[in-house]
Amino acid sequence: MKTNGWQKVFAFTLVQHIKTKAFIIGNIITCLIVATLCVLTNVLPAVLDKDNGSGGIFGGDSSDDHIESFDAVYIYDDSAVLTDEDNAFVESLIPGKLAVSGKGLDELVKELETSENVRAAAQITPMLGENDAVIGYDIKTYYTSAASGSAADELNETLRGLVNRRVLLNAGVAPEKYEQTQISINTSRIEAGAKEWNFIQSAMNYFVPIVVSLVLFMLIFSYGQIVAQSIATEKTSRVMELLLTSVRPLAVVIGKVLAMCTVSFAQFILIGVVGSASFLISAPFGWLGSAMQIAKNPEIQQALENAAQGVGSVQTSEMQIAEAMNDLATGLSPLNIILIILIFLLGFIFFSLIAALVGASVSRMEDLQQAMGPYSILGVLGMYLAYFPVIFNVDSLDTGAATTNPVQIFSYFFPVSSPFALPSAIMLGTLTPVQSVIAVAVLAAAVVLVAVIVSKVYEAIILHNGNRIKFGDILKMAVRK
Amino acid sequence: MGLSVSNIVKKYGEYTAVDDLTFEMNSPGVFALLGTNGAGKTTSIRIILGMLAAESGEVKWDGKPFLASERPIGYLAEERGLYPKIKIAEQLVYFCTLKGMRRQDAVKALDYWFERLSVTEHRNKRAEQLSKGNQQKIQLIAALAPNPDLIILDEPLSGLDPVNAELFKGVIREEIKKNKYIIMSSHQMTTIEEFCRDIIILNKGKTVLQGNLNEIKKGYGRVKLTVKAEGNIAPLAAECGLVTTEETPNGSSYNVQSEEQAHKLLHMVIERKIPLIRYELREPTLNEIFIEKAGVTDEN
Repeated sequence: MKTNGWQKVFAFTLVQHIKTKAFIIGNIITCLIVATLCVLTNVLPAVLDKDNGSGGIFGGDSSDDHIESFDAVYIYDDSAVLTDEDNAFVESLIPGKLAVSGKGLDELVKELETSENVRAAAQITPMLGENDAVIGYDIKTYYTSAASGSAADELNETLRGLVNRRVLLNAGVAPEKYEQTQISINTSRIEAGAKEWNFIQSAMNYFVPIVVSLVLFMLIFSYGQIVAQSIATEKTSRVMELLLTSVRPLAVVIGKVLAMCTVSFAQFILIGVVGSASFLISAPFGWLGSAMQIAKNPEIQQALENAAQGVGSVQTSEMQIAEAMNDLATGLSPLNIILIILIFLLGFIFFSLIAALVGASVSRMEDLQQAMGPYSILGVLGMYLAYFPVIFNVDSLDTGAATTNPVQIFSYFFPVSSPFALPSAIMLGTLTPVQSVIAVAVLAAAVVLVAVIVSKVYEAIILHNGNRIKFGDILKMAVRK
Repeated sequence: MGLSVSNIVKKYGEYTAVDDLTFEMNSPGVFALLGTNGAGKTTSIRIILGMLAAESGEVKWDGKPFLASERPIGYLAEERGLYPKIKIAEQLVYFCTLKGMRRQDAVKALDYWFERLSVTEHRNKRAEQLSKGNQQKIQLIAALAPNPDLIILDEPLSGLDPVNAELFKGVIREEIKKNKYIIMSSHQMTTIEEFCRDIIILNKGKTVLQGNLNEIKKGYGRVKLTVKAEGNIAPLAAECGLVTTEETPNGSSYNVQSEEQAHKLLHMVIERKIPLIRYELREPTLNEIFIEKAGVTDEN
């Protein structure tokens, strides 16, 4: 099959596409949005922390979030579990603000509804079991709209601790022994053999596949539509007949697909460069800069190593970010970058060749939208297969582990979804190198299959004028040939 | 030297679009490919251009298989096509480079053709901004700028006003003088008669008439009689065995079996002293031959 001349089609398509106002304006807007989002993601948490008067990156709560922010706190202890000592403790936390109301709780809560003061009313009621035995306590805190929910949570937590302490003391536990029991115990579950992830890594494992699959879907799928539209325009405007006096139809397809692939890939790189540059330029003003500074600290590095070796040390959020960044850098190894680029190109060619067939199958532009149905279904199906297993695997935010959902695994090896699912899986190390290579090989085989179909039927359908050739008929034609 | 098309057969399923098409262009000039709508002209042209593969037969140039991708062909398609949103000069340079021209040669050739067809002021406009006639000129430039040996013109004058039609005819004459091989397909038989040396008439894919136009006409002889007189000559015509084929303000037309039959009518009109305004005995026009050949076969 002669394909001479595809280079000229490639160059013309490329130049004409990047010269269009829609492309230039679209790219400027995309870059502005990406840059803004990246800068805001970096700077906003730091700015908010500063406004809240916190020194930490994520940690600080404002004083408004604490129990001291209340102007008045009313406690209705219907269980009579708290003693004067406990009330005195609360009083010590909010000096002069522990108040007593002569009203019933319901009346007070009604008053709080319209109050502009920072107030709360807490009710402690016993939970009764058989024979009216107390089996627990229920603590509810009603607070005014001017108060913060966090402060109400803190009040609840304080009362919970006090009730718990009082129950133990009533049961005969000595006060000094009680203090000894108040130690922090963290729990986590880790699948045997799986890596242990910190919170930031877990969040990255959750969100990166979602963002990457969406970006790739937009770049691959939307450019496929442009390929279809371009071919349909050439066919319906009869330019194709003029082109075919000089080049073979397949050369036109190859030139167009590769030109669009180049534009799309350049746009992919552009988004990446603009995003990275925005992060780096704004780094000194945001959490990224702090994390980078901390990550350079030898003590932190040592702590990270200890954590990695399980020696034990509690990671700060900055250390978690630094570790996640290290993971990302490892995931973007030269081999992985090559694989990701290869997947992008293969995925693009896969969808664009199908789109080219669709574009060639119509004789009127009005039919194109309807003809694009099977293409759209394939694209959306692929994106959903890559996207939804991740979205619904909220559990991974706790475990940090990438999903082992069979649908997700399937999406890595299914050519319709693998262009959207594989890059992030490779980047995050979800797949082993061997699995990655197998998945890429499956995608490559699918591209070859589509290319063979295109080479068999494209020349026949591009010169067909009349009713739209249905997708099924195209496949039948390919099988016959 | 020249184009040779031998035994081309093209089928779409059970339907035979082109059935054993054979013709030769041994010397430069204009060759007419005629036929009714759906006769197989466009399919034949596409096979010659290499766009479509034939079931059998071959197309040769100078005795060697003809590959359009290796030899520039000028093609003016019946249904015109330009990129609507792209500047004229840019798309023409693209079309020329696709045909193997270097960019600078293409620009130089286009300068000449823009001037020749009086469209220089439109070179930087988008195609959608041009009138239909000017778009047609641009299409002709796309066909001729690469200076091809073989030019295929499908309905070159359709839709043109008389001034632009004359301009196109002038260009076609120049190309003939440059010893180009031109295949022309048109339903305007007067244009074909004006330019074409050899013709082929297709009907439902089959060749129903082929050869040198002058010889074909001579073969028919002078069989078309038109008479206009200041009186009723119908009884005289009937007496001579002539049946009226057409009545127009220019007179009555008859198909004659022999020239004697026509002379007999003339003598009778003179004998009866009926004032004669017009008496014409002539060979059939291409239009009449076309209708006879394509129409009769169609009825069959």
